[in-house]
Amino acid sequence: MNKEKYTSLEIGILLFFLLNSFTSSILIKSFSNKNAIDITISILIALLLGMPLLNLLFRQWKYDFLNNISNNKIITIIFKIVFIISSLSISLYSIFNLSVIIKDIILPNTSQKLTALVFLLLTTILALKGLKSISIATNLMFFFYVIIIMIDLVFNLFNVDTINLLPMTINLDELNFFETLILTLSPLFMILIIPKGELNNFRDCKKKMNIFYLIFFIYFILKILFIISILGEKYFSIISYPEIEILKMINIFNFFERLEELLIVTIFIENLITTAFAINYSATIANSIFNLEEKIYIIIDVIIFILLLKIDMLSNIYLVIILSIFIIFNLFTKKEKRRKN
Amino acid sequence: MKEEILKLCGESCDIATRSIKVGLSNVDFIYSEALSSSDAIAKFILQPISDIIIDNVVGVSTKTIIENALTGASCKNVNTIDDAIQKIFLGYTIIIVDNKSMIAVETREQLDRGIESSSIEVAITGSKDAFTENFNKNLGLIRKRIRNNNLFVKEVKLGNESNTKIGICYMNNIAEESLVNKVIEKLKQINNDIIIDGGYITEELSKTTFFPQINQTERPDLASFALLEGKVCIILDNSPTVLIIPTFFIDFFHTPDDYYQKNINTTFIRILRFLAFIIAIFLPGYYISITTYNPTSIPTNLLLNLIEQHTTVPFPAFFEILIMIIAFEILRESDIRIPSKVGSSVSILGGLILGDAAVSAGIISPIMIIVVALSSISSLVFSYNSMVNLIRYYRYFVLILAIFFGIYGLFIGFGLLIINLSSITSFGYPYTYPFVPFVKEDILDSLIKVEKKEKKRNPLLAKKKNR
Amino acid sequence: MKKLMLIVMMFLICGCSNYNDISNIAVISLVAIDYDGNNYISYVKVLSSNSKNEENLYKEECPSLANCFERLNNKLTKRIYLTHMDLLVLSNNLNIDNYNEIINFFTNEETSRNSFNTVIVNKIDDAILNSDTNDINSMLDLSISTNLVAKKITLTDIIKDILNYKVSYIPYLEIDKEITVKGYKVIYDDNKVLTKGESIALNIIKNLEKNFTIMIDNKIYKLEECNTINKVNDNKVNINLNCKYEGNNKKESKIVEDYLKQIIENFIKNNNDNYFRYLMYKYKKENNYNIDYQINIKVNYQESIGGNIFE
Repeated sequence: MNKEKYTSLEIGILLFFLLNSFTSSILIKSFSNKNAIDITISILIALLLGMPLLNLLFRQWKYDFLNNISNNKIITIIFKIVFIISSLSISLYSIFNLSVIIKDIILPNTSQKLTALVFLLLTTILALKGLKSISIATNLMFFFYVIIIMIDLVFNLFNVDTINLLPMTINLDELNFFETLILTLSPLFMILIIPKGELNNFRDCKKKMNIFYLIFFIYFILKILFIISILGEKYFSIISYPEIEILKMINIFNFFERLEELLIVTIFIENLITTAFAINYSATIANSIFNLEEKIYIIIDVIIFILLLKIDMLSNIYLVIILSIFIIFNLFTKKEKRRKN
Repeated sequence: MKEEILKLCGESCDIATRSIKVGLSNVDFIYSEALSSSDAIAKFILQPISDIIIDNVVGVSTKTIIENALTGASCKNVNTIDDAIQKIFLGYTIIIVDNKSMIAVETREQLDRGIESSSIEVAITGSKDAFTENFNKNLGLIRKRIRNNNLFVKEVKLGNESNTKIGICYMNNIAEESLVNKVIEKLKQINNDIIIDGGYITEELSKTTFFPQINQTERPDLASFALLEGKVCIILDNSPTVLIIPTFFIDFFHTPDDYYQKNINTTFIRILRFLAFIIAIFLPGYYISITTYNPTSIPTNLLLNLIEQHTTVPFPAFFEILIMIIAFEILRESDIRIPSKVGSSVSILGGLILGDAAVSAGIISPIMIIVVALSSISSLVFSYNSMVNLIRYYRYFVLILAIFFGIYGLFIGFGLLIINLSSITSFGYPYTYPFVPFVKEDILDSLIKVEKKEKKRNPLLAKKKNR
Repeated sequence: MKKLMLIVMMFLICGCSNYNDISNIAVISLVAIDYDGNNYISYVKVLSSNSKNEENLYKEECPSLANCFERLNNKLTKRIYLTHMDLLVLSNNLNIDNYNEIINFFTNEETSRNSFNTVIVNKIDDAILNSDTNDINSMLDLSISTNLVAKKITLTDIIKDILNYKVSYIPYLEIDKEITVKGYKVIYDDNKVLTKGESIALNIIKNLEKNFTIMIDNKIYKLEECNTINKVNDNKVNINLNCKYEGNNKKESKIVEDYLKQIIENFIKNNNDNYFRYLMYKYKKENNYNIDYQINIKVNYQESIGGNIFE
């Protein structure tokens, strides 16, 4: 067993978290005012449309990503700039979302910029340690993530009222599978930075990635149906954080109540992993252009912090546009010459 | 030759000499009175030499006659004066025949305490013998548990002035050669004047983090288990601890006792240790974040109780807890250093001061004492000193973060703990071994202990053909 | 590099503007709100562990709720902390605007979690203000299983009801010399108090409880495993109720059946049919017709277990 390569389980769990990056905050809000059945169908369509994209991703996986982007120097630089901008925007949106949630729920009087800055420093520390550390940290946090989700599921089962899932009317106007597809699949394309030579067994990895892809979408559908069946459609559309509303309803033996502040650690974990990966990705690509070893992280931090200071509200449209361009550019990198290994 | 040797040793008072005549030759003995045992010299050297009858055998030199007559088990030829001096300070006696050739015979004095039970790593069941300061005894304790010719021991001498003997043990059919070579290479790079204890080597070989990457143990059964997994043990002369390389994080939650009991008991105790680890690090921070930032998650009656206790105390919560933790550390440190005859009364005094008197004087609230005591006692569950230190530093760090950020600080502390765990490699092997390169057979022996159906060797450490 | 980040992080930790020591918060267990046409009268009960010689009930009168609580904050000189609140008591003379304002206030307040029970009383009296909130909560807990009169409801549930059905039913307590649970009060659609029979009928229709006892003609009948299924077909609604009666007397089970059918018909006749309109909307049926009801009740009895001894 090779101790330095990535095992297939590590890559699978990393894929799960990258797909999960925007679901807890942005996507759930975009599903308000829609029926349960519309939401299920749009997620299923996103799942089906995502499978060919996933296969294209496997085909584009290279042994050396940075030198095989394009034959022309100028076009390579354009590609790299697009990649840097998209990963920076992923990290920006994640940090912003987390700081908003922390400000609303845990620390109402502290300034949002400060909590965002501390979180940014923490993720930069993780990003500095390298991709292998990020994947190990992801795997370790996965255990805690699963435990907390089990707690949430088990103790809220009796609050489920299946009548909230009706009526089963399908409105074709309200399906937003495109947004779902882009927002779940685009952070996944950042995984191409891992060189193919460092994977333990690529066929195993592909199998595990397909399995975790399906697991993620099933988990997503069940989560949204669970939330809607407890809260009802109209309440779900009005409140800002439906998942946290569910955590408030956990009540064990009338003694363990009011646990939502501790159980928010799931959202913290999701955003930490996405942001760390995105910062590492942009730093690696920027290093290939400018060749500053570790000082690039300081520059990235400063850029993100300045943008955070100026922004008070982030809307989804910019993110969807940037990320769809990101996917398209990723699919058009040049093919690598097969080398005998 | 004799005068030269005496001069190089500075004519120290413990270097003794004796001259006798055997036949026609002059035979001189040089030895160190401090390191050599005069009984052994008399029994193994002087007696047999005095029994020599020089017959008229022509063509045989005196040296050969003396060599054949000596009854000491270890006789070596010595060629240079430097070698001779080295051997003198290893406890050998140098026999100089006719000022031409030298023989070294081992006559070492036993300068150690004999095999006792371990004072640091206490065992409830199982063998109770522990390593001592003698290299050969330590090696013997391991060899008698693994009576196998595959247990190789390679020797390295370290320390520019001290010339300490270091032995690197490994199982040839299990351990990987690359690991052994890497260990030997790194050891040879150490450039120190003196190597007294394993702690020096640990500092040089591991990276500078709080997490211990090399384990030190006093128990031979633990060392034997480690050897059979494919790890490398380093035995040092004059050190009662043996180093085990590489060490994974989960090894600090295991003791050899675990393998001598039923599986269910072991599972329970290991889960208890894990809980103790979490309580020791996060409890003071959690308490501070409850009482100052987010009192939501505690039940109403407990909250009223805490409010009442806080109103009687003049200090804010974070100051109280810092005082208490520092006082407890001082108490613990003084308990270790104080001689045992005075020890018990002083610890009672310390406990009383920190306990009842502080509460009734109104300086500290009782719940603070419970929190700090529980956290400190949980950290003492681990018998490895490096682990206790690790818990101590992380506890302070999480506490400071919680003082400023509340529950968010706890999250950040948790994140930092996992980030640090995930970035360490112990000699190239991932530190979080059974969990992250997920190996099902070894998960069954990590935090839980379940019977394995197939007995396989550790897939990360063992050679491929022997799994 | 990493150490630089950690050190910078340590220097930033001066954002402790959220620091509020635990002795500076006022833990509130009960809030009572009344309205006298112009002003809100709000009462707030602060908990303390040693409750001797301490005034723990505070009252304020203001034209708006937010103003009331601001003044209460100043009066108490501590921060009002609503997370551990157990009970919200509303008086009988509140109208729709009042309810809107109360709900908005509690949703926007930082520390309130909307998970406390809500009750309506006929008049806010010392009896309820000085009582222990745990007693009232346990009384509400017991009332649903002893005589199926009223089930406790939290503010979140009230909001969900109003959004879905446009009506909500809140337990109604009557205070004379003692506190008793009388039934439900309807808010938002009507403004009346339901009788005991109607409350029981409502609980049965909504399938809120599986095991309960009812009193018919001063006799107690115990029912188990009750399940109500409401089926919607075009403009017909079938209410199917299946119960198990703890007794082996066929006559007694018939009495229970007749009683249940009677109270359900009574409820449907005298009250608005918001719940059923909501069901029809959920099942995708037309909403404009008059609804035909068909009530099927089946009470099973067991051969071996005994019921009442004396008739």
